[in-house]
Amino acid sequence: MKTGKILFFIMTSAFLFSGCALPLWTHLNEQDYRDNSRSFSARLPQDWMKLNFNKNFFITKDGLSLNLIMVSRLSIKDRLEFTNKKYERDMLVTDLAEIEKDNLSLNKNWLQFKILSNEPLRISNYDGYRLEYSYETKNGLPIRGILCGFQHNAWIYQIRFEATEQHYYEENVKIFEKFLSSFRLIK
Amino acid sequence: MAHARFFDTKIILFISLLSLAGCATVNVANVGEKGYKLADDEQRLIKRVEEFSEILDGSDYIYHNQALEDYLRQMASQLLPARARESGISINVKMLKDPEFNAFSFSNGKIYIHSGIIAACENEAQLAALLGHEIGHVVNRHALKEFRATINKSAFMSAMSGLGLAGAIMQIGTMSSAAGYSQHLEFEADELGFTMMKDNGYDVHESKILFQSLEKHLAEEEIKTPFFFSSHPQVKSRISSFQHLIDQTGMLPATRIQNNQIFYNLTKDIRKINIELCLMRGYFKTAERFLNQYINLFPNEGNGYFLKGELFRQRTDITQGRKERAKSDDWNTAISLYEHALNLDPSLTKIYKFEGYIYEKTKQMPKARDVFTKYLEHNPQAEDRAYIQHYLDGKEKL
Repeated sequence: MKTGKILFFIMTSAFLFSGCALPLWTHLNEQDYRDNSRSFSARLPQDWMKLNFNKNFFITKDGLSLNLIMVSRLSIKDRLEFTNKKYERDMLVTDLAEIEKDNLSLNKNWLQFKILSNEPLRISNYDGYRLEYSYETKNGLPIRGILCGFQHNAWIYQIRFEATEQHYYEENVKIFEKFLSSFRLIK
Repeated sequence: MAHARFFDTKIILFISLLSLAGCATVNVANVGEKGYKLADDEQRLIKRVEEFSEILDGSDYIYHNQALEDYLRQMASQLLPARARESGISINVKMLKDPEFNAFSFSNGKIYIHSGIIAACENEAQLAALLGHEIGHVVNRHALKEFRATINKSAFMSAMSGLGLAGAIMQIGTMSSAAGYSQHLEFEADELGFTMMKDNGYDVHESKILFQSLEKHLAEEEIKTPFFFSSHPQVKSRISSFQHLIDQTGMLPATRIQNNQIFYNLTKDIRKINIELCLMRGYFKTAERFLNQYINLFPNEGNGYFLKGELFRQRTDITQGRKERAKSDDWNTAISLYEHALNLDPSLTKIYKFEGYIYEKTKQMPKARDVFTKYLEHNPQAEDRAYIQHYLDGKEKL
């Protein structure tokens, strides 16, 4: 009985303390960052915040609804959110960009969606794409975004930047470009 | 013992009174019937609906085509039962660019129809069945009845559990038929729509065919939950219900209204847009069915063959075992279709790009360079010209 109580106390403490060890947000200093779970590295911007406990890599300066940089790694088996189209091995970059474009366009929560440009881009020595787009939220807030991506074997990488068109996009787009140019796959 | 019996009686009376209160407020006169009057809660519902409509109508989901809107409004006005027309209610129909098979109506007479279900209508009679159903929801005030029935349930539950009503009202304040009403109201709307078809000279056999088309679409794309959400009666039940109504109707005059040529001409553009949306959505089997229909209706239209070529280029739902050979066959078919499209309509110069993608994939480099060059000559401002230019400059793989 006594052993059981001690064990319960230890387990409860471990649970509580492990919860306290990593907060929801981490303040960032400009530094090299290595993400082993998603196999990439990049240079993080000064005074941004990283969201912990998320499937994707998320950082923001002023709040996720104002500006964000996100990195996702998807398997080619993963389903896309708004289209039944599927990723395949060894896709042409134009095919990959087309699937992403269709997926973005079919998001019913995005009003007045427009593709502003669609260009090839080398990312970490891989042939990729760069899509620039804009939309309005249901509350009429104009958002501008850049989605870059490429395929590496059975993985699809997406690096996204979004910010409100007024003020936050212009203020942060150069920071995103710097992050993007520092992005490398860890082999 | 006497005390216990008195307590039981009070409980029974309390529950009975609550039930009666629930029944009384959903028994409202339908539009145009004796005692019909716009209720206060209905006016609040309509206000919420109008706020939502303003956002939707100003968005790029709306398909704008004045001629088609006028045609639908006129058709709806003819279908509207006389009693409702005399009460002053008017029906306004808008179309949404959405490949799902759905339509919904609001209590203020506004009806929204998805491009998906318009494309599924093979003739004007099927369109009449669809419009009649939605008009049925409006004239029988189903939004108000369902709203009140839900409030009463919430009130009862709130009394028992101490929770407030504010949350429930917020959630259903803009209720429309989009999420589906209770089963008996949906069947009531089916029956009303059927009667409107019959009274206006349409072939009632067409009423169930639209649902058979929905059933086919769900099976083709392996969709488990129908678009009408789980509160709509299942598709098979709807088909059986229409069959029952048809059987009850008996023989009707052989000549019924058709107007199909007008219907096809007015819906040509929205059908094309819907096919493009199906391709984007990856509904390849539905797209193929609509493409065969489109080409059959408009055999000299280059766009039909171009989009069919796109279907063969893009589709990936090929069984694994046949994958490589089937893909190669698909690409050859796509090239033939593209060339036929260009013969019919030389202005479709965007086709050169898609031909180029296929030649690139099949390692036919000289052909790829040739068609990519043509694409850029005809489309100097293309949004994706950088890919093609990089490829021609030898800098990038596609």
